[in-house]
Amino acid sequence: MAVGVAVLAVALVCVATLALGFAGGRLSRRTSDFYVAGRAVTPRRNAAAICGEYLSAASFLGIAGLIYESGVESLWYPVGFTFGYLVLLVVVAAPLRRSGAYTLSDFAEFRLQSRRIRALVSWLVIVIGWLYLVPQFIGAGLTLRLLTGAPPWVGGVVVLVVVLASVAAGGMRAITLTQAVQFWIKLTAIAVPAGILVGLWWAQGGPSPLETVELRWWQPMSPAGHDGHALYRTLSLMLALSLGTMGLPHVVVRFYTNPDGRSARRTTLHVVALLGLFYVFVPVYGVLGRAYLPTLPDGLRADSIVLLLPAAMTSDAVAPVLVAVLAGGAFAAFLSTSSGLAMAVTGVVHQDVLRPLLTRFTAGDSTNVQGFRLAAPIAVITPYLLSIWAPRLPLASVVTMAFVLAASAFFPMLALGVWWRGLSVTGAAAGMASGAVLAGGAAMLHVTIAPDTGWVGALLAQPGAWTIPIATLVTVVVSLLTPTRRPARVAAVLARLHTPEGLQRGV
Amino acid sequence: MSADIAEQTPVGELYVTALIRAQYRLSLVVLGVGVATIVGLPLLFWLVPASRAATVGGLPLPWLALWVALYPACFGLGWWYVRASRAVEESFARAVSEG
Repeated sequence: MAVGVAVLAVALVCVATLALGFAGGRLSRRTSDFYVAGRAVTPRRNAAAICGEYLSAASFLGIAGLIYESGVESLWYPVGFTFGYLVLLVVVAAPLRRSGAYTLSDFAEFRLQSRRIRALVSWLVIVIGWLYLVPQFIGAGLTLRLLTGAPPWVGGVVVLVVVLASVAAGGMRAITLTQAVQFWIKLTAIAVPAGILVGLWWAQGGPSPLETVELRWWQPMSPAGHDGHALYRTLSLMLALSLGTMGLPHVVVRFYTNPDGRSARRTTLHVVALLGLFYVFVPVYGVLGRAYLPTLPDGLRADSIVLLLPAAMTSDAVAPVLVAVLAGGAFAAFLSTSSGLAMAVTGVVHQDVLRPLLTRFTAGDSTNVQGFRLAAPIAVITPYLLSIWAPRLPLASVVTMAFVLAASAFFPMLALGVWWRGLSVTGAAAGMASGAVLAGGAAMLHVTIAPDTGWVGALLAQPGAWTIPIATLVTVVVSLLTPTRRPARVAAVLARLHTPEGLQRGV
Repeated sequence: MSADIAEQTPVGELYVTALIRAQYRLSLVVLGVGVATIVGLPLLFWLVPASRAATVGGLPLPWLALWVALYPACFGLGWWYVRASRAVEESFARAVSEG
């Protein structure tokens, strides 16, 4: 019975996602609809959609798991996930919208007027999108396994099928509506059980987490915690999360749906508010988990704590219902993030990889919509396969790697592109390449051979503090060395990025 | 005057440069406050061991700050920025229409 309710909740979320996708799909006939949702989205709905897309497996399950494991230090993750939008707001929000770019590739091409830069950006977008998709599949696998005992690959297949169907059917308008709805599903699914569980804890006179934990769990920067590099780890993490948000492929896309630069700013501010609201509920699961489950059942990872907690606190009939609500919310998280990423990666695969090929082979016979539907499986099946072989890392750690990569590769190009006329094509390319290689290399070493402790371990586990500054430095120095490779008409481009819409005419 | 902006005359470019510089300063102020908070808190906990166990109204300070307090602070900062950047744009628009 307990299993039945939870599976029903998951099925309901999947069906609702599909239904919204197909309903929206009927509305979007033209190619432009596929891409831009007709550009008629208000800041509030757009903000809900951004949050709906942004709150992934890492936020819904992963953060609580990290708090369960390492306590107060892990509270920095949600703070960083939110602070990233404040940075995005003041560094790129309005200019990004005013550039008229739909994807990061568009922005790079617009700002630097180079097709080759565009190709580089597109490949990086695909890699970051894949990296971010992997933990969504893993999260779905562990959730379904916990609920039904199914092998881990089953959950991933469910997400894969739903996402492919809704992306192919609906396109962007459907996704925007779906995402906004998904945010409210997720907020309800995390907040209501959290409230009930806290009430239950209060009524039971339940154990305090402080009775069972070590000092380092509830005090930050304690000498016993981590490996003595807690300060470095925290600061490096915050740098990566703060600067990585603006380089995430599925986030940038949403800014195009704002009517102008000012509404892009208002949208971003709404996002900060909605994320804060969501993240206040998440630690409840980690903290109560510590109090009620001093050790995890064999073979289960800390990422499962959100789903394990209700049954650990009460044997009443309320526990299965809460698990069902949480499982539904978790699937909303996997599906929404995956569809957002799938859309973004599909767009890039279609525009920058498949379309050039298709045009060559079919002499222009194939339609854009066909190409788009062909690109979707390529965009989604690869990360699904990766998720099956992925090493066993906490969900939030994998997502953090995507942030480090996004920040190292794209932050210098975006920030300097918006604010510095000295940026040259060569400088941007060198910065992106070095950032990507350093961040990718660090991640690779971290999952394969790195020690967990010591300076080397800390530097590889949280590489943002060195990869991002180095990439920025490379961008600046190479740009200064190659002044002839600055794009033409840079003054006009910067004017367009910063001038309010009413005052500008086409550049 | 807005023709100057669109056509990149020297006068138009001067106005735009001033606009970008004003927005840039504003962004730096917000980033500065944000970074001071985000870097300052871990530094405080690291340098002053007593702060790790400090309580505010019976609740541990680190938990209070990281669990709840930073979110409204972040929003407040963003809200101020949205207003201020809009004011910069409005005074730019006035300067353009008067000029």
